[in-house]
Amino acid sequence: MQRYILRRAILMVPTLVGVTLLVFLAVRVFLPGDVIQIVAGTNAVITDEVRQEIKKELGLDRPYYEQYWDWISGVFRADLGESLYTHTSVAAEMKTRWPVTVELGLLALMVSLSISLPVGILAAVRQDSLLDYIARSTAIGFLAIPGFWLGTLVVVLSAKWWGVATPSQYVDLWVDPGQNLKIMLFPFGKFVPVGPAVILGIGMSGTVMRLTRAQMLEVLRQDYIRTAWSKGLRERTIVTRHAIRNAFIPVVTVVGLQLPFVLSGSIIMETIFNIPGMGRFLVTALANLDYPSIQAINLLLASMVVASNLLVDVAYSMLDPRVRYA
Amino acid sequence: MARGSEIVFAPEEKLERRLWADALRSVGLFIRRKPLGAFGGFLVLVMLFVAAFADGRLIGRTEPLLAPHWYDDQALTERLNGPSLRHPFGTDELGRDMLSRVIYGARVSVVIGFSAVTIAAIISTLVGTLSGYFGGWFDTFAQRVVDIWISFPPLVLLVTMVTMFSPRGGPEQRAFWLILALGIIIAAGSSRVVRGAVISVKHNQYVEAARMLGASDSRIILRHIVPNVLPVVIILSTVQLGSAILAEASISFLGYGIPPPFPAWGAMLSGKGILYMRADPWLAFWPGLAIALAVYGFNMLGDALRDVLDPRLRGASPRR
Repeated sequence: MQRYILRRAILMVPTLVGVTLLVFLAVRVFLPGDVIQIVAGTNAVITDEVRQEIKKELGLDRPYYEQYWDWISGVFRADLGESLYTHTSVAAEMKTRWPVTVELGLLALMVSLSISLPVGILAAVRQDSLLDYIARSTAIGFLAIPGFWLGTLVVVLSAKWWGVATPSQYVDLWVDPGQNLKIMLFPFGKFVPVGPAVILGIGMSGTVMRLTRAQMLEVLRQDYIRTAWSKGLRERTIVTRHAIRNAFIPVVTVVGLQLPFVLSGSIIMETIFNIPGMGRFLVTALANLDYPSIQAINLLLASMVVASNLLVDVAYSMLDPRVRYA
Repeated sequence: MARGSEIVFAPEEKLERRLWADALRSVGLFIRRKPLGAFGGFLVLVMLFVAAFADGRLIGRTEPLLAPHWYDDQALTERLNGPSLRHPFGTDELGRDMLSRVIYGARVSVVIGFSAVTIAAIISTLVGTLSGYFGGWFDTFAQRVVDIWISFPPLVLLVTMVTMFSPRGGPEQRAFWLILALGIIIAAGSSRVVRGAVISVKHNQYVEAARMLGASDSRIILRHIVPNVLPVVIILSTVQLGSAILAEASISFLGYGIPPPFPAWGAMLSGKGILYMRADPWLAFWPGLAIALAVYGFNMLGDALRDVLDPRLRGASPRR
């Protein structure tokens, strides 16, 4: 078991190195010339001399391998450089922002699971019932409705119909948990219980619901389930003790692999609902071509995905002893 | 020579007619067996039709055809009007007809979606086939590269690439980089599915037989492997068209898509217009509905195609 985890962790290293290379390639090698203009100021006239000076100051005049080494050795010292725009440390900015996105993601996950698991299981147990049909069509609908549409509609309609708006000021979880959860889950008060985490969770739940149902249906047809029935066990025992455990293994994988989509979705939710997480940080950084921040955000988000893939592998091996030695 | 071709000609024509009849019959069967999938296909056809004939350019005319107005025609006295007979979907803050803009928006989505997915299909078939067929160091290398690509949240990579490649680009330049970036990102995930399909096809006996008869690798790949993984590529591409359209809408929503005045569905919903949407909520309704229907159509069609063509793929379709 420990050897398996260790082997997986070692395999992470080349992927992470590749991630840094790709970030460097996409951001630094293709760095647009407009960066010089932004550093100099929008109205500044840029002569060749000024251009060279700014390049030298930013270290952009040196060969790529030196620039890459500089950046990477900085990353190991938790030094992500200075924002071109605010002139503050990128690392400090990240420190306040990543917990916000992680919280949004986790809340969305909870919302998603608390909808999709019970409904998916019930739909399978009562296959072809009215509930099953409703659940299936809703799941398909959830897959097609874009989060930013739902978000925009909620914001627009609650303003129009009830004259309520999202709280303009974000409150940190550690400062006031109640207010923070309200912003994440139901920012429009009791009228519309649909906040960013809920919309994100609804978007995720479609896939999980469909998979849970399909897995349960498959497991419920197995021989050992028939054996359990013939032993005279109650339906509840059969479903909870025998079926769910076996059906959930692929579900865990898929939930884990949804992280990239959660992070993508949180960019949009943070933009609509004005939440100061990594997503909005990225959007502002891109608008200002603030490349140290762009690099840092890409690197951190990709590392989070790599780490969560490792966690999924480990969880998988714990749930299903057969894969451990594969 | 001439006589030879005459002899072949007659049965070929008959064969062609039979092929058409067969195709029609299988379409009929598909509609009966997969009504939801057929409905999805219908939505897709409507979208394609609307995108092609929004104006008459394809048939050499220069006036709007399906769209009642040009997408940038302004009626300044009728700004922010709700739905009416003159403007069934209402007008936006510049007095532009929303119905026309939504219709033209289909063109943006279709062009970007189809181009990106075509690029993705070519790259993923190429990489997946070589990787799965030859294995070895190329496979190891290609799969590690794919690992790296799929470690990035897709939207994050997409906005980053598009911004870096064309920070102040015009519409054409933006569209080009958007299509390329989207195509590469989609290809990374699907090349793995293609690779899996190639590996399973590779172990079939007819491949072994071809090899025993002395067929070269390139002949085996082109005549035996690729035709057999093509259904997989087609199914994947159909579902991915939905994802590509959603991705294009998301990136337009964030303000990094095709720049205005071109009407993209995502951009019509973007934050800058939210004040106007409060005045006229219909503005926020139509473009979103269009996106949802398009994505729904491709998802349903793809699901049904998968059930009919290759049930083994069940559950393999990636989301967003």
